[in-house]
Amino acid sequence: MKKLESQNQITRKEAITKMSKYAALTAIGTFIILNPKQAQASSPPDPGGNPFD
Amino acid sequence: MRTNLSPKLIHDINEDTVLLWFEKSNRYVVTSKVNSNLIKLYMNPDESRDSFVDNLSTNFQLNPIQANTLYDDISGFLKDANIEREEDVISNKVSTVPDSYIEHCYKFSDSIVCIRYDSEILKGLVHPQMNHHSIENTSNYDVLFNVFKLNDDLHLLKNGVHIGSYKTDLFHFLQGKFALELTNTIHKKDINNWVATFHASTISNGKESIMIIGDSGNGKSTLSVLLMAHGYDILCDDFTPLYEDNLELYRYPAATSIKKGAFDALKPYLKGIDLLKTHTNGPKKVNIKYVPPVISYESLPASFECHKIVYVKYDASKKDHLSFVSPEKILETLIPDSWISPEESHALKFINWFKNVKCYELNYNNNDFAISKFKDLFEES
Repeated sequence: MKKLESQNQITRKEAITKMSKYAALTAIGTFIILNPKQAQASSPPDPGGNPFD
Repeated sequence: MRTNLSPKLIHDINEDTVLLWFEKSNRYVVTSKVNSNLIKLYMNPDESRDSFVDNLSTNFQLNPIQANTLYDDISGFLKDANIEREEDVISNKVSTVPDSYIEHCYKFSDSIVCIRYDSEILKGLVHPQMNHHSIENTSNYDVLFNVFKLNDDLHLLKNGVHIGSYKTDLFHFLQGKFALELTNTIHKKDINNWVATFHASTISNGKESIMIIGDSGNGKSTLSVLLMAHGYDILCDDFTPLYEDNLELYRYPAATSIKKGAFDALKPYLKGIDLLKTHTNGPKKVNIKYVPPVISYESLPASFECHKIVYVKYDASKKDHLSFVSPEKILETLIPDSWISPEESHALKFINWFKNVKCYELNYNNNDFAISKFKDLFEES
């Protein structure tokens, strides 16, 4: 998911806006779904910045 | 069925905002009090679709179509929120290590750590940030790490035991795993008791700490170095670990990485920046310098409390300002960029810790403004 977002240059805010699946809930008030990373990580590389390529 | 889908934790963050946590997926939802109450109503085992719709028609003046849509939304959301996520990392266990390697030893107070890298590329992912802790190689180390690549997988072993494998394009997870293992080793903690590792830089005044968050390129590290040049202590750059016993943030002893664009801006404040080696082949695609701490590791405290988070943005087009922001603004950046332990006790500790955090936003293009505002934030405690 993260990879797709970075490849398509979608920002986090745009991704949240796209989550308008629960339109009735979001219409009533703040409704933000947040997924923590599943493992510890340092800063992700810049696009195309994989030193192993 | 419904109760199986219920969020395990429901906590008020402030009078308008509620944080939900789903155990099965380790997923958080920030929502309004009203939404939270609607979800609670839906979860009530005595509530049928009809009574839910009636209830909403009476109390919220919603027509039956709107109330039914809301019922379907909550139903769909609760199912989705519990769907377990695919693993980001792989776990192809290996136990044999390459015969040839590049060895470096590092000293952190009374701990000596030896790392064996199988290539210059892998060394480049860790060594430049730790170089200021380098000592002459010795066989008298406390912990040995092996870092190597087999086919398209990177592997990390600690004292000969496999602790992680990652696809090469996910090498930042290897860096993160190593960072936590190193932090755990040098602070002599239990690896299972870390609540979270935040993608944040953290600054201290010797009494408490303030966490700095922001999207990549917002200037977190640059601001940290600026603050260090004005007498503050960089507790962590980019990787901020929270421990469960005291809910304090622990020192991660890496040098602070500064991108090329900030070299000139820091020059007036940081004498000697020109003398630091510029690394040209790292994963950031731009030249980077690693700025070591001014004060020696041995003389600095290991951890500090943190009750303030500042979302930082360097923006020359906007007026300098520091203001309170909503917790959702901070959580929106903090949670997706961080690892938070999936244990229920840790999720609860994270939420309770966050409830006591004040949230700020700093927009700056004037360095002196940013420094003076951090001085104010530390002094108001």
